[in-house]
Amino acid sequence: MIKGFAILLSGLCFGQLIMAQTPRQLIAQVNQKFAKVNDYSADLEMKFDIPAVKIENISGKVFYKRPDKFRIRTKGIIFLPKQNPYYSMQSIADTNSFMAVATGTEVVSGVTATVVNVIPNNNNGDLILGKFWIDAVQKVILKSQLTTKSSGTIGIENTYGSKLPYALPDNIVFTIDVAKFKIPKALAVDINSKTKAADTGSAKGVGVISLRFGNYAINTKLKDTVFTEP
Amino acid sequence: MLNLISIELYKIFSKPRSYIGFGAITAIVVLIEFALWLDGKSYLSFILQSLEQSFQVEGNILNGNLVCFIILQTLIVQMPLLVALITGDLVSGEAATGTIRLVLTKPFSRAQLLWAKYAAGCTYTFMLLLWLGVLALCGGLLIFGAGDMIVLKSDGLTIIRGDDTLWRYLGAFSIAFLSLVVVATFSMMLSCFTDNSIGPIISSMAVIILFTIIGTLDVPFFDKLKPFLFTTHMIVWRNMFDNPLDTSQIVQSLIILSGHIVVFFSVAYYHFTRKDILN
Amino acid sequence: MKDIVQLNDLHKKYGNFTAVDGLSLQVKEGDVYGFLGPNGAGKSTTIRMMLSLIAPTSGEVRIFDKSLVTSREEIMRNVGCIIEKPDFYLYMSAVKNLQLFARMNGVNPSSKEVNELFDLVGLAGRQNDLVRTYSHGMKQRLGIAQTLIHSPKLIVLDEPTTGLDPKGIIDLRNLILRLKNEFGKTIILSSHILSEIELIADSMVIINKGKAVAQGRVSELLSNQDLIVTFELNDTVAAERIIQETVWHGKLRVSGSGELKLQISKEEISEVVKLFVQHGILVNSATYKRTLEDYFLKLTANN
Repeated sequence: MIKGFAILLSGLCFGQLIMAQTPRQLIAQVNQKFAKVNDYSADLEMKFDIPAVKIENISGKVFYKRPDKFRIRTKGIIFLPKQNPYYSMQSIADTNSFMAVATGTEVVSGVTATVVNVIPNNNNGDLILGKFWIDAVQKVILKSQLTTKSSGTIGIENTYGSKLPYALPDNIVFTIDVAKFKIPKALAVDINSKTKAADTGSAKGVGVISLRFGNYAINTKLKDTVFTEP
Repeated sequence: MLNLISIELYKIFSKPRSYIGFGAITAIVVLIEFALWLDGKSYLSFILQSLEQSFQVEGNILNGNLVCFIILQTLIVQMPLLVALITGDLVSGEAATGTIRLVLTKPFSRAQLLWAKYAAGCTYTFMLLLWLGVLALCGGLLIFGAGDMIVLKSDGLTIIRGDDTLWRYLGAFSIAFLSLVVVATFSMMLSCFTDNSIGPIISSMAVIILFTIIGTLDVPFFDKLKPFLFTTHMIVWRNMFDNPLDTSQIVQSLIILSGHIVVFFSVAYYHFTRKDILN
Repeated sequence: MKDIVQLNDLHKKYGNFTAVDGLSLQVKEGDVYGFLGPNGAGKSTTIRMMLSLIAPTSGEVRIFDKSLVTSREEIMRNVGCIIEKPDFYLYMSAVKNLQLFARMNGVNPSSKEVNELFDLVGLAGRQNDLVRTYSHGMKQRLGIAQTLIHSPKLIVLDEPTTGLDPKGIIDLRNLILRLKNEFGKTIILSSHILSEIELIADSMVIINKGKAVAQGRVSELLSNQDLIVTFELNDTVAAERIIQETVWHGKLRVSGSGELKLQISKEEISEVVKLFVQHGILVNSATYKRTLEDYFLKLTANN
């Protein structure tokens, strides 16, 4: 009975502690955790599900170096979000550049997440509005939804594994609004195609890009040339 | 028979006209490759503009595989003309110049002669296609490098991985060859019915253009005809770049194309082996 | 001598039109055989049936005692021909053409043999020229070379003198005789000019409207007893009246326009001239040249 009470009490106190954090502090803690990573490289597997585009999975290598050097190296063609996978981290790197508002909690993949809306202080940047689902215990972003000027709304969902202490996810899934895609018939030249003219081009939809990371090598002092060499 | 085929090939390659095809292909391919080398990236940006609003497309997009595909698409209209230019002249050319009278008094049957002419015509077609392949694929790879291939279709893009393209090209060229053999057989069949060279060439092209127009018109009546037109199946080489491969459509088209070849050749054979040489 | 060619009751019909109507003939080995008839008589159709260019409606062609239907390739290995015009691949040189046709015949002559042929037909030195630069006469000579390239036993020449100049005709005539005499070839020669056949043929057939109207040895068919002699006179009316009162009254063929034609023997010409002179008629000339028209005239009269 005493033991049970003690657990309940400690749980309440911890909950109070979390609630006591301001959204800005929470974001600062997230930044702080990610700050342990100066650079990394990892193996990468990419999956694509983009309307009107048939593309097979591809594997490659990913490189990152603080603050914003990022590169994916594959042997073939890949589709990437216009922003790099750490765009969400970058957009909240400077805690003085935005206004953060906590809007409650939601469960994301079985984890209770604090939902924080981020509104940039000035409208010079690409980000219009950011919504972050943050695991307040692990200090990592589970999910984010970024409304940008250049690419519309981008959803980013992170799943963590062994590299959780570095806030490095095992999987990232991007969800991106895709404009209606159409090739002029004259260029495609499948003149006798069964596809009727009215059907050509896919409807507007959502593209999904999944990145699966493995074999992380963290803080190995990556050379800058990794990001520039062909 | 081999002697006869080599004689027919010798005749074909002795005619200046036979090199028009090779010249035209060289000129077109070099022109396209030069244009793409000069401004290919803008061309691709134009095609991919709606995707590039949402994505960053990375990798060597403008590579030899894509260039070869663009060239094949462009030349699909011209190749039958270049083939018919020779095969439409195989029999009627000899009738027009009068040599058919001498040739048909030689110690071989008309059937043997027709087969030899047909084999030579198909060999010419193959060499023309081979030349196109060498220029487009090898030239493209040499100038633009290798890489994944973006297949441009009116209903979207398919990206084929670079190491997955060669066998597809072999398949595509084989299907294209069969398609051109249909044209060769058709024009040779027409060639058996006339005594002038130009008629079968023009007629072959007229039929191909007519069928192609019918193929592009979205009229319900024509929709019923389309599966029976050989031009509908001539572009099935593109299906080799579908992912996953729709083999049933390819096989069906190959059967229909082969059927056309059998019918056209049978008509040619029946007429040529029986016709009186009156000119 | 055995028969090299036999045509048995050959017919060719195009719809209602009968081009060849039951033609039968035999060509002896080693002969120059004349195939004579006016334009449209069925000569070319018959020759083309002999060469399997046209299928007979009925009847049989036998060459070297074999049926053309069942042994065509074997037969054609020993036949050389020119049909109407000597047509070649204009974009090739003469020698290439010759080599190509030799290969079609299954032979591969040495350059020495080819050069000898060019010598024989009088084209030495021109063998490497493109055929498109050749005159009609040169093509005709090349045509002859082409018929000989595979040493055939039978040579068929369909209207070979068409378009040739007088010298070309004489050269060709001499060449044909040489082929017969020196090389022992059997030659079938078609023409619509009787005098041409008369000069070189051993046997001949005359066809009209698809039928043979006469055939046999030339010496028998064109005897000196039956010449059509043309007299150029100053008064044909008087001459005709005089002839009507003589033994030649049945031999009068045509009279008028200063000419009078009589079917008489060579020996009788001087007697007729003498008769005219005695009656004060001026004889400008007395000539004879066998023409097909004359021959037909004679045949009609005889019938």
